[in-house]
Amino acid sequence: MQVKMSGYLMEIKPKIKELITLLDNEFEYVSVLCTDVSGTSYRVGQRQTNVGDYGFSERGFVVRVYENGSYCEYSFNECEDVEACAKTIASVLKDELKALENLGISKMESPLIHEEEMTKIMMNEIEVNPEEMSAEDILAHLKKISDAGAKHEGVIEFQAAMQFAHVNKMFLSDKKDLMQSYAYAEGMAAAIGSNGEKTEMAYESFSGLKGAEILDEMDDKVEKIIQDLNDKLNAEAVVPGMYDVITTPEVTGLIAHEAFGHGVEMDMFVKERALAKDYIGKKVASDITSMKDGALSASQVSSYMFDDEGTLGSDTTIIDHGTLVRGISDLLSALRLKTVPTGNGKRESFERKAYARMTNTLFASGTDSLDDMIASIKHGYLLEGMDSGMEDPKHWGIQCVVAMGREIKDGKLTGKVVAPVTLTGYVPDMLKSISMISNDFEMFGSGACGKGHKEWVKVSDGGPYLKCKVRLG
Amino acid sequence: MKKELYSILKESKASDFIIKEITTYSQEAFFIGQKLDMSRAKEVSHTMVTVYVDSDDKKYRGSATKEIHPTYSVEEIKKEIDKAIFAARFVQNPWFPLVADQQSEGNDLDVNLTEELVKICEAMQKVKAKENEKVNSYEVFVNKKKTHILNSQGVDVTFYGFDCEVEAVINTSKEGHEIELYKDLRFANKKGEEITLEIEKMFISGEARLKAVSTKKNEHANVILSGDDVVQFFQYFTSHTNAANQYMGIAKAKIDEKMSGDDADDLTIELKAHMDGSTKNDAYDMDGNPVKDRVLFDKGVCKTFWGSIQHAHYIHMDDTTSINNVVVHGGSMSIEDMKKEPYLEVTDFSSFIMDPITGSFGGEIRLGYEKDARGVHPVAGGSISANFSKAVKNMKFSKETRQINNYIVPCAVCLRDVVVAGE
Repeated sequence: MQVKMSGYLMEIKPKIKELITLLDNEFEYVSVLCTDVSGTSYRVGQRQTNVGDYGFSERGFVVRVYENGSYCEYSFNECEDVEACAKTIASVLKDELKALENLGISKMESPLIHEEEMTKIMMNEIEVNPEEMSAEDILAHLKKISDAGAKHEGVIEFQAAMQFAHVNKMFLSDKKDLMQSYAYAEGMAAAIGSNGEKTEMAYESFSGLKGAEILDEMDDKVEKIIQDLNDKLNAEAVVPGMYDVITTPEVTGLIAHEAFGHGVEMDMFVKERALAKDYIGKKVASDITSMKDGALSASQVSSYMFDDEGTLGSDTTIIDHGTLVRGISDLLSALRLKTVPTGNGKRESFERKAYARMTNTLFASGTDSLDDMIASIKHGYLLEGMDSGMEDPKHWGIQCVVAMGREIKDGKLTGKVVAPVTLTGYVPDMLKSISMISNDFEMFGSGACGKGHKEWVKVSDGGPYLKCKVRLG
Repeated sequence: MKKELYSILKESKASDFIIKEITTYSQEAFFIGQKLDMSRAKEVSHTMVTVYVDSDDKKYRGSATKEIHPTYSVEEIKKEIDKAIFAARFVQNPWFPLVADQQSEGNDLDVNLTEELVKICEAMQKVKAKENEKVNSYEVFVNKKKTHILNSQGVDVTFYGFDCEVEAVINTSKEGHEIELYKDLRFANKKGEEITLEIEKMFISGEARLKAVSTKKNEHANVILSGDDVVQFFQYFTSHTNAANQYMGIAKAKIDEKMSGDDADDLTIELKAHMDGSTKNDAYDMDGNPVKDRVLFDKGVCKTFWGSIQHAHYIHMDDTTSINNVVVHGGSMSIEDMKKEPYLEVTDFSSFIMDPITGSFGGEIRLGYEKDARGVHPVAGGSISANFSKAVKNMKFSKETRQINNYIVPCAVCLRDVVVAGE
């Protein structure tokens, strides 16, 4: 079924156009991003159940204007009287800028945005609309999953959660009239258990441009989560050192995201915070390695028609057979760098600034089989499950915390597990060490990505199994 | 809208309800180098409503939370409240009471956001950088908040808050090699000179990082944690005294028992409703419960738990508070004493990770100082991996303490026998 466009955005559209007309009298450029994101999150555990709004729910507006050679923005979520609203926006932004100018502060060069005439509308499809499904049915399904997990020995708590988002955005300016409506769902099942000495957690996540059908995918994973939990409870610490490893698609995605995703966000090029700027056209990975990012690169939670600055999404090749081709960009960075924006200008919400952000980031599949990859390793690990990661675009350091490593000896999995595992290293060393790539492909879109330590946005990442050499601790 | 919302809720089938309305006024400035990149402002209002539905026998209390946008029509509000009440009927949590009978109008703050923004930007513009140093970029936020909490049990409290944030990145370079360091300062009332000084101090760390050599591998290192991440280290103990974690069965603290071993320094942690300079001085929490002073640990012994009214009721606490500010008392050793033996001091992690459930903590070392037979030298790279199950047995805290926003913590924590991955 097709997702329905927000009635509120349709209704408010004439008012926002009027607001733009009024602000046009004051500023050289005016655009407004209007958001109406709704959704519900459900979480069921053995001790507590929660129902609430989806974490990224929002309804509001952000106006961007060009004033005295600079861009200024105003975020708000009430606009009954359009004239009064226009007056407030103009006076607050002008006064603030003037106060800063009075300090004698110099300004970054900010070329004026020139837009082409564009009117577009997009609405995606899902199978089962959770908005039409009873809360009773969703909670009952999650309870069944929680109960199935909790009955196992040593399990302290087993939680099952599902959340659904219906994203509606409208971008209006003198030249642009863009509207999009899409929906996605996320699921999570997690077990916390103890063996008396250690407490551990294991989980599986689910996501996609889907509806309530995601609940059915979760049913089959309970036994795997329990097995993972037991493996982690019985795991040993890894002996720190360099190892041949195989990354599962989830860990591959984490590496794509942390290793080169953040490193090619082109607002970091403007700030000279990314080493990648000086490596365009140079070898940064092995010949068999290709990497992409884009709203159109995969069908996942960050697949949209236009970004939060009204630029159409794209499918950007970042690394092509080992060579760094280009980065991903928001609109203002592209203007300053004199490049083409790639539709990667994203905001945490209408209340926050837009930055160059990842969308769906992935390593392209190869031709090897997982069995052949395991067989090729004398002593190493199959790395499974992502916990967290941290980027370092300036120095190309990488830090990823991976849930566990399954030992491989003489080409076979031994059954021994190490956990937790911290993977660190120098990004080009790691990418140049990629020697085998499987023909699998999987994307993961649960969770969110921050820039520095804030500005959380939805992203997805993934790819195939990779064989490479990394430092584990 | 609030009056209409209140009447709709009063007339609804909800057994109880709570309305939390937060209005934020904010001004922001973004800089690349010392040049203005963008200025921003906002005025937004968010109203969250939680409806509660009790089972007929009052054993269970279901709830559902929903944001009521200021642009909702009366019909939309009714529809959303009905949907929330319907969902709450299928949530079967044990019954708990709401906070009752609290009234306060609070005092509005006399703050001019533009003046505050300009004051901070001026302080940042004054940062002195040598030839091989530069301010790479920074973002300044000043926020004023009004919070109004209203529930069906006689809570009607309003309070005001003001906070500032400076996120700064600096660079230092030597012979074509440039490094960067990051700092996120959060405060309520720092003087301009203090802000300038804090950023200038980052250059000293930057100089050290330029000279850093690779961290050495060591499976039994004495590690001193002395960066801002010390706060996260102590959050392990606040997490294990949290009522929700106690109720979920994942917290280890027990009343009248110690979490630390005999060879460790005794842990004394106090919760403070108010702390000068902190951004967390709200008089009430989001249940409408007054925030109070409490002693969590006294000389190592756990004295009380903290948390929401719901979870406090579940674990039979008579009285509870939320956390605004935390004071961790200093320990037995001076920093000088800690540094008498060979050690690895980590001042900056790429990202310090602490998992209160598994007890694992550590991260990649962005800057540290290693003392060996040759003396003290800066190091970078590699990582430390540790677990609280072992750390609580021998952790030592410095006598010296310092304030990091809403935490006063020992300046340094010393841990023995830590695994360091390096070269």
